[in-house]
Amino acid sequence: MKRKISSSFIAISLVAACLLTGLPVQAQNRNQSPASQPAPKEQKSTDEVSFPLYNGINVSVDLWGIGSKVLGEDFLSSEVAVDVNLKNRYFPVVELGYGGTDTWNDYGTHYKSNAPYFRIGMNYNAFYKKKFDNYLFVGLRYAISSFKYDIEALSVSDPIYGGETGNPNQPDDIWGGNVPFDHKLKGTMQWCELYAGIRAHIWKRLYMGWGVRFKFRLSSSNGEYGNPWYVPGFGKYDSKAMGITYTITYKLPF
Amino acid sequence: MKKLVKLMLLCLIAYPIAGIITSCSEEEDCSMNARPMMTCYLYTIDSEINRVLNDTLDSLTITAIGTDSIILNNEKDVHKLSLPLRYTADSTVLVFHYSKRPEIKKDTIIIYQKNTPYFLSMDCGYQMKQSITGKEYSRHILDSIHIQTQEVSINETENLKLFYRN
Repeated sequence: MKRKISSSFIAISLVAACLLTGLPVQAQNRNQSPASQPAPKEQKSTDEVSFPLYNGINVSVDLWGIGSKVLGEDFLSSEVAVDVNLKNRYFPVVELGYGGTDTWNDYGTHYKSNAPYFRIGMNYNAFYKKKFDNYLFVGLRYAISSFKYDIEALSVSDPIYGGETGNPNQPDDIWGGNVPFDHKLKGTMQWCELYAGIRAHIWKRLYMGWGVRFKFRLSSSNGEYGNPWYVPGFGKYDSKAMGITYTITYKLPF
Repeated sequence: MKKLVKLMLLCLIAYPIAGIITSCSEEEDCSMNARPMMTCYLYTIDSEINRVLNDTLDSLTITAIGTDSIILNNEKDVHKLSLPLRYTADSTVLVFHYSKRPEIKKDTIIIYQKNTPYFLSMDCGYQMKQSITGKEYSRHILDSIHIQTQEVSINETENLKLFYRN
């Protein structure tokens, strides 16, 4: 499974790298003066402009979660984010997503979970003084997800002699036998995220970008019979996690 | 503008590397799925000075009802015991054989426990959470049993104090 995750990362990264190196750089080059013509010194001051308080609303869709599932990851997630551009500097953002998994492991355990998640926070554009339509974001998020998860250990019954193995993953090696495991559980988790990312203008009102998220668990509650394995929006259940988003953004025309 | 392009290229190179490093360092610690063992220490009460003293049995064999396995086989100088509890029943019956000589009686201890199978993760599997809810015992050599900690764990936390006659 580790090998699969690593190879997925490499594959997804290469695809993203190809797309991002091609399109955003090309988009930026349109704004750039030709290399043969040295830019006048006063150009720098004309790049820096002041912006009004309201500069529009952006709607973004994450494609990373869908793409990684297609490339073999266990989890499927997708999210929509809406942010408001304030003075080209502050971007309050709300993100609503849905994540799920339906996975068997090699030892006959079936894990299933689907649930929405919600994030709220703020991005700060480090290029807020620049005139060009590209953004370098750092931000903070608070996130929450309440979810159900079903865990079932494959039990095998003997049709001839009767009886069945409840959970072959947990045999009692001294007395023999095992306890069946089939539980529907509920959990919640709250976490915060540090975000860093870029957004580049590609065409008309469309932008493309990617971001890296470092996630830290604040609190969680689990079911009586087990930890969640996957937390929608967070990833694998742990005290910390890392996530990547690859977004297409549409700037609303008002 | 060139700075932005350079920054983007730098980040594009950096993030797959970060991703690979992160995925490689995700090795889970699965030590929690080991079998919990009930840890017991042996004591005696010195009635003259009215103090609890550590006790050591010269020889001890422990068997369990419901299995042919020998839990402890003729162990010498026993002061500490790590004993398994049954997964599929709510009680475990252990028989303490102090000697092979028939004139020396055996003690039987019944431990009542609550078993809760617990899923850890897809990689680590399951653990059995066990909690001691009660006890019964004979008093041939054994004097009394005190439950110190109900939760049975893999950390060798003392669960039972076994008091033997002086």
